[in-house]
Amino acid sequence: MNFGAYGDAGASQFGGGGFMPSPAPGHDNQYGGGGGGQQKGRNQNNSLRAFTIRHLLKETVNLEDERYKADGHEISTVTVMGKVTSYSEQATKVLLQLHDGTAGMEVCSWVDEADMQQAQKPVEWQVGKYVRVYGNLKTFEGKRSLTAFAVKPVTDHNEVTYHFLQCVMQHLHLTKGAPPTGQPLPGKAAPAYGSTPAATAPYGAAGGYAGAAPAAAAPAGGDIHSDLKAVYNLPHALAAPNGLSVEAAHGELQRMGRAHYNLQQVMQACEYLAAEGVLYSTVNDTTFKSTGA
Amino acid sequence: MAGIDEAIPRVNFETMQRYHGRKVILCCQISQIDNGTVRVTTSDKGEVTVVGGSSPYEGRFAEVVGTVVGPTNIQEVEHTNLSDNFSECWGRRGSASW
Repeated sequence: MNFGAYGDAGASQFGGGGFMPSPAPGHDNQYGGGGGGQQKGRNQNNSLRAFTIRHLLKETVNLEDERYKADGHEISTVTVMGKVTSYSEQATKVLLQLHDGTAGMEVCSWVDEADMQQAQKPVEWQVGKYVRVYGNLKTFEGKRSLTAFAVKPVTDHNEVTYHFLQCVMQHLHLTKGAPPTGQPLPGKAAPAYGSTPAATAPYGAAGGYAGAAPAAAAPAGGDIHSDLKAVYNLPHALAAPNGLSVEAAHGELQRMGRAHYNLQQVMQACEYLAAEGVLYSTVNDTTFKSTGA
Repeated sequence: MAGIDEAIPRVNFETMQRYHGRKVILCCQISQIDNGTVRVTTSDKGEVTVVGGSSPYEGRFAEVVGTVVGPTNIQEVEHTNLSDNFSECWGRRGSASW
């Protein structure tokens, strides 16, 4: 069952692509030359992110030049899903009002004459029907709307459930870091993504986000690498030009409830991750930044 | 369906109790239809009676938008019929509420 008919919105959420922004060339990173001119507009960031309408309206920040930021990351293409509450055809565009239960939003879809004549859109986008919209966020006279380049009718309502789960997952991933890799704790099965809620405590039992995680049960030398990777993928760590020092990473681990790692262990783990290509050193041998791997 | 800023929480039987007098969205399995009254089962095995609907219910599942008027009663505003393959996870605990 693939609900990701467009781009990377579907199955693979943890492969490093899809909703994670691509690093911009020429912008102080290993992927481009230094000092190059900064690309303007959306080409710099080819991510596709799922949002609830309320999140898109209330929690995104306006940058300049019609660029927006949410959860600490610039957003490019977005996808929302909702019920059509009103539909209006004009000469070259169709205006929809969409409501997904969290809030409502206007969606503008530019259509050419051929589509209008075939009358496909009016049948698929009826009031009361669920649709998935792919598009870009716009602001006009202080009001936010979506300019859609694809509007797909929802035929399987499981896609609605999937979409909301995807919104939650992406938000948590970008604000709290990647969940730990599925290394088994002693005496416990590793939580598997896609397993039922009754069998799993998402982001909790394995200690990814819960402050009261059973840290004493975590195997030495294994989880520290996953925890550090999560720390170095935190939004403020990714945004910092030089990354985080080992001391700062140690402080973040303590805030995450991983107080049992000492500074020397953190340093050794950072060196290990640097050798594996997960981190790279920046201004000195004790300051690292994530490669995004 | 709603004003632009109005949030309509998605509920199951348990969380529905917190929204008495408010509009909610309930995805449910249709148990019985009887003279304009529809008895439905929620994902957490609760039984709810939906009254006031005008359009017909078709299939096994529906998404009901309505006002909670009692512990087991919803006054329908509108509903959407869902396909029969809805929710492979049906019967597991809880639905997302926003």
